[in-house]
Amino acid sequence: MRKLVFFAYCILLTAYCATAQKHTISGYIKDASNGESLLAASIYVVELGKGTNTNEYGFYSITLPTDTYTLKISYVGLATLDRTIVLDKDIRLNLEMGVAATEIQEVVITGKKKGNNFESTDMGRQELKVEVSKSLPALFGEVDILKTIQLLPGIMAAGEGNSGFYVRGGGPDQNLVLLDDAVVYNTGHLFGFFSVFNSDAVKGMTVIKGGMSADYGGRISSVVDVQMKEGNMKKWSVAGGLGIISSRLTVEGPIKKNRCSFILSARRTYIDLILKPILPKIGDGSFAGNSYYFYDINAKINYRINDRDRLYLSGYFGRDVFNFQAPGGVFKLAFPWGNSTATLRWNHLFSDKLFLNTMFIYNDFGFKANTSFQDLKFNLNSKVREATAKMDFDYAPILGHQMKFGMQYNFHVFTPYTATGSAGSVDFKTTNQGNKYAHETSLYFLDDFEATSWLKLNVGVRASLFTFMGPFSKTVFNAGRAIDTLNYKTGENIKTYWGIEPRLSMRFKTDKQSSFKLGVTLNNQYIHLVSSSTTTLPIDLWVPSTAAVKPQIGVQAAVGYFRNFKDDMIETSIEVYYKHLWNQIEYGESAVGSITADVEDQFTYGKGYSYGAEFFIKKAKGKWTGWIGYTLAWTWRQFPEINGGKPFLARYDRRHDLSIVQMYEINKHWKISATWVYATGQRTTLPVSFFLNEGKVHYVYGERNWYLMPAYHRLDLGFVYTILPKKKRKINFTSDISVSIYNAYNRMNPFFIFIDSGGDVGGGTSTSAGNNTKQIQFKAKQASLFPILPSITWNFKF
Amino acid sequence: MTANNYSFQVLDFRFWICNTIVKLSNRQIVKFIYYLLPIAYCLLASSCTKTIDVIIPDSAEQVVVEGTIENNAPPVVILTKSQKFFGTIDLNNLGNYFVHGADVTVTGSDGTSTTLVELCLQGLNLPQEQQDILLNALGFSTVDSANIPNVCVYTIPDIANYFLTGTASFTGKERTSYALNIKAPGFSGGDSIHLISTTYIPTAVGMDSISIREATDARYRDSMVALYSNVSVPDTFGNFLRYKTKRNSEPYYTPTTGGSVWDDKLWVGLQIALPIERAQDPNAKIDFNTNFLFYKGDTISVKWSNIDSKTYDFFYTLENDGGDSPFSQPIRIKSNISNGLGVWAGYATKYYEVVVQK
Repeated sequence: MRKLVFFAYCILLTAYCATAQKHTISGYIKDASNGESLLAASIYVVELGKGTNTNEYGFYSITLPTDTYTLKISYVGLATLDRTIVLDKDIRLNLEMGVAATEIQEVVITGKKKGNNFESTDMGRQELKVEVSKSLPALFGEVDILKTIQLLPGIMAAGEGNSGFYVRGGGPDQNLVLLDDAVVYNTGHLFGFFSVFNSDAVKGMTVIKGGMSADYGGRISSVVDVQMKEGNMKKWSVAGGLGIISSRLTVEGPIKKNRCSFILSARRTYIDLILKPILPKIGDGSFAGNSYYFYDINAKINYRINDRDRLYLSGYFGRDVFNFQAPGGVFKLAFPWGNSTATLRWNHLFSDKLFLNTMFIYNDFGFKANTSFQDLKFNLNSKVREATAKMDFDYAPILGHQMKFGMQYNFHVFTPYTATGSAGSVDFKTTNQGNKYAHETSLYFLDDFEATSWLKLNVGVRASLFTFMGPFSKTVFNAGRAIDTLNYKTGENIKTYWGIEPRLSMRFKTDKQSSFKLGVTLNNQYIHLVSSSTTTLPIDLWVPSTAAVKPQIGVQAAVGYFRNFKDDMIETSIEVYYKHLWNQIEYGESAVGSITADVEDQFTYGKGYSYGAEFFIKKAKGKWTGWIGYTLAWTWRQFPEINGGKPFLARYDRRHDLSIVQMYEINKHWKISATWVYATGQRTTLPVSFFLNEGKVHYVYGERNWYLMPAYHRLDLGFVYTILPKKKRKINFTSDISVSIYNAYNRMNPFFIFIDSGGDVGGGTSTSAGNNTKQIQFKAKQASLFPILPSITWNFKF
Repeated sequence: MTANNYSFQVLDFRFWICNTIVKLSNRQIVKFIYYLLPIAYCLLASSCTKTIDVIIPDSAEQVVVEGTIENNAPPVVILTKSQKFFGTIDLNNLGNYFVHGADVTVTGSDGTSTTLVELCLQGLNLPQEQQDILLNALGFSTVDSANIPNVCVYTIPDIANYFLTGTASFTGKERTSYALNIKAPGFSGGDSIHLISTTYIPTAVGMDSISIREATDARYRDSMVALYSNVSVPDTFGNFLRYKTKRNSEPYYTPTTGGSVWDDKLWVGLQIALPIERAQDPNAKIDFNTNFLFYKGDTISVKWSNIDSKTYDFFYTLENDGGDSPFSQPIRIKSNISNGLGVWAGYATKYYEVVVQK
């Protein structure tokens, strides 16, 4: 039936197209300074009062009846181009946009076309330029795009200084984080304090916190789509920075001018090298054997084969390495973890109206713990790997219709904790912990179109199919005894799930500056990350849907009012959402975890629901820019086997969340910025009573997340001083000094609460001399992480 | 050794890793990050923590069972009350924590049954030496003789006879289930509380032998040695172990860093060598360089017990409850007591003693 509707729709559309003689104008729009594709540049047909915008690769296509038209091509921050076109045949119009020579360059914080805020069908969507992150104060001076998105309403930080985030009450695994279309499984370095995205290699990002269109799938909460720079097509350029904990260097340039370019960007922390001589002198010297560093490399090559074909090859490789060595060298631990991604993309123009992007992607995330104790060696290993083939078509049959359709296939391989090792000359390994294999296939179709002058719709559907397949074997235990053995052959279908995911968003234009929007989406998620801790750590495992683990399903409905003021200088919006999540996964209340057990045996399942309102006001251009975002939200979870089956507020439930972000460009040398965040405290579970066993105190915990930690608030200040070259030389060397003050008024924000106990029961070691009182004292203590932290970074470019 | 002759040594290693990783995931990380960042280091000291007032919601008091029944030994049941946080436990008034006046019966699957009587240390009028023996047997140390806590236990009436002669009216037997039935008086005059549990004493498999090896770390080689237990793990899944160690006249302590309980998931059907941890006073500061080494000249006793899966679950969750990790979700300790907390544990124990030559 659905197929029938789709075909009928296509036939009608084709019939409509055939009614008049039509021609297509299409092409690529690029940045004149470096040849980078411009995403979401606006092409506006003045005579019709309608337009379109470029896709992720800078391509646009408009089909119109034969006539003469005036096109206005605009991209915020660049000089608007006017072109008069006599459209009596198909025309290819490739354009380069540059900075207006006569105008003072204005600061803009989003790369969107004019009026996009209220004109488009997008809801809960933000496009952010990396320059915004670069002008905001940063922890330790490390510019972090994921921390910038946490300043948007509806997106909450996972914790103090953490780059992890929660979107509208969804879990951390429900965010689809993409780097050049490759899924990034673990977005954090140093246990989440820094994101894996090197800001020098990033062009921009798109954040979708609700109303996900049908071209995205596989996660139920949000999309963070990060685009890597393509590499300068015009000239060689070097950029870098020296910070207090890390340094960066980026080289880009043309291999063949205007045809082939590359970018290579790397960074590494070096605090381990600085601290090496200091560590043995700290405390009792037990830190002497510790070292930690991370590094990452981004690389991309792009090649314009001809006007119709373009190839991109991009990759990311990052590792965190933690080393520990006990004094005397008896115990050693090396603990590396990290992501790798590789993306090969082929852009092909079938016709002026049909654009195809074909992708082959490989990505993985893994962690290892290599330990040795005396003559014993023990290696723990876990990994998730994915190979993807993807085809995305962009089809613009007539002006006002922007269609996308495509397919995606993923092959997943999950390696749970696997241990190998040796004791002297004896080798051993874990058994019963084989890989899990799964296929995931999806098809989608969407049309973004103007039904009437006031109604615009984005209608889409995504169909997904997931199969957990052999080879797989497992011994089933009950009370420690093996009661069954499951064996599946290679290629054997163990469990299949499928789903139809309708996506709809509608825009009702109320006047020239405002609109109402409505969005309803259903998403399925077949792979899951379940954390046993209150924060996500590299040791957390990704698992597929299996017979026991059902796909997560999320439905979100949102309505919003969008209004711009002062010729789009000020954008405002109010959005209200409700989200319902099925098949949510948590560890059971008594799950301790063991490398010998299948992790899914310790899961328990339930549901979640969240609702809230988001208020946003943004000054998008001018010398003074910034925004204020406020979120009022509730986030609930309910699991039959947790908290006695009673609903509980999730640990990332935050009633109030306010971000004030302000940037001011004083002159061409000085830029200042400030951010202030306020959030209701995190929820946590503290013990309410204790009992004694064999002379030791053990805790009995209260209801899940019953304790509300004190509120979090923090002011950060940033100053950037740019040193410009005095004369125009052949090589223009510019640099800036960036000073950040994190937590400017030194607020001791709660990081976690712990119970401090002193004394003993019957142990006899801590009887106070002189008096005969033996007591144990329990105190709740709040630990804070970062006090006021100034930092300085020097960035250069030539 | 054959190629597939796995070593139990690594099992303890799993805990090393787990402990290390768990510790990495909590305050150690925070501490480490402080050290990692020179600026933060200047500001370190105690300024990063402060005591806060937490208003604890009312929670019902619960009866806590610490009951054991061992092969060839009488059942011993300690009944206490769970206590509301926070504040101070006054050990001079430990008597307040015990539940008095409960009816406690133990019934074996072999048809035997006994009703336990409540004995409080101060009511026994025992000489100091016997008090020490009794307290040690119950896991309490008696360093401070002026303030011996008034420990109360439920056990068989002729317990003194058991300590003197080794025989008693009711003792545990291998391959036998024991039901525990408790009627405790209600708190603050409420209805009486009925608790039940069952445990199983499996076959006492014991270990093959204890071997003494030279310490790997040269710094301790002159004064210390490593002890290994050589064990043959039965070839069907479902074997669980718990052990404790004792130095000279100290009480038996529970190993804390490597854990006191093991299952057989990695080791079923194998001959293995397990490094024995020198269990220490639960509140002692552990030196991670020497906690698997024993002093030369000491007499070491090892209590080696086979247990059932529920007893294993209790101690495994108890020892890994993440209590000191602020980032870990709290673990609910798996109790085998219905309507209460704690454990009713059956032990199939064999005792070993080894004298480490100087």
